[in-house]
Amino acid sequence: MIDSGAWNGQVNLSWPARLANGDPVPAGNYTVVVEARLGQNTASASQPVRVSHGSVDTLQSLTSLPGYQYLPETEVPPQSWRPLGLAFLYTGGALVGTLGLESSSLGSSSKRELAVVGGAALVTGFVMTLRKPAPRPAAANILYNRLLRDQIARRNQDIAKENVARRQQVQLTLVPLPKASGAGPR
Amino acid sequence: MSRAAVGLALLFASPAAPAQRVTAIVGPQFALASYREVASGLRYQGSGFGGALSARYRRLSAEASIVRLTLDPANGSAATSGFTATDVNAWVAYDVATYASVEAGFIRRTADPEFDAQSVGAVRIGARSFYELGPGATVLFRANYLAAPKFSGGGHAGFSIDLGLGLDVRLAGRLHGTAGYTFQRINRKTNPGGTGEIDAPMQATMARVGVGVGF
Repeated sequence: MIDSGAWNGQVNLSWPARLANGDPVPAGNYTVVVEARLGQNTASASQPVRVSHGSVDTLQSLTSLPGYQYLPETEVPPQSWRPLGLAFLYTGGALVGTLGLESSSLGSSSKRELAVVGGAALVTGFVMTLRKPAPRPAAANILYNRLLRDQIARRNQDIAKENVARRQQVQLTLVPLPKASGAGPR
Repeated sequence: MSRAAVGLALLFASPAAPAQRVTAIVGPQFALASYREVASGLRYQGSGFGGALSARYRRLSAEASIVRLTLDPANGSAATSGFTATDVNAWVAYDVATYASVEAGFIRRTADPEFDAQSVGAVRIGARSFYELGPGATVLFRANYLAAPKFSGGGHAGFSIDLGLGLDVRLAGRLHGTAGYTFQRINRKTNPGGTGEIDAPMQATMARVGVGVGF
């Protein structure tokens, strides 16, 4: 229902061809029906029309920003001698403690036990030094990527709003159709 | 698939994510030890077998080990016969920092035959520092004061300390390699027959090397 009322004489009615939300009606065939009633007498007339849309130049959503690119969120730390250094530190601590706490009256204690475990610690430290370090999260890159994603999301929201406005401003063309062409949406 | 194959598959399977659950490692160990008592001439060396268990839940961790050692007189020792020692250690630790824990526990070492060497029991109080050398490899250093030591032959000790070096390396999946070194010095003093207090110190070192299965 486009309009309804009591009139006298010639009446001009307009159909904006838009939905309640402001969007244009979908393209297709429609039938315009006019019904008139005077007392017990009724009369009606109909006219099929075709609604077609002009082209809408919408904007594409962004997946990236020109000049900006996502950075890797993990990084492999540079190899360092830290594992071997720590193994030396801990083994050295045990050696110094042992030497410093040996009882003078009991003489020097056996060092083979410390050699076994300290040697294992040093070998482990050496192997860990040679091993490629495990990747670790790159906090700065993670923050950068998050900001970039937020920025792209904001830009896409603006683009979506702009596209809605452009779709609502599409040029509509109504062409009357011969009555025999059949009924479409009313 | 045979039972052995299933066992190996479980052993080398990667453990589930350890977040917020109890993790434990248990396995057998081979031990080397040396022991000195009273005077430099009374020294023993030997080896033995045992087992170790360690567990962790968040900041709380615990360790226990038991080793049975056969100690024989070392070269040049004045001792005439060896003895068997059973060494039991336990610790409970709480992480107070990323790389440091405070810990408490006990030690009990018994000798068999009983009178061939001193049996000793004491409470451990101390701290340890640990650091991850790399993925799955942790080294630790501990220093414990041995409080209130008791000896089978009587006496007391004003100064007793235990130093330790530990290593845990994940070799493959659930399989870990473990190693531990301990050095103990106990300044025992005794008063045999009431004739006056004499020094009877004890000094022991032990290395434990083994494998463990992580859960």
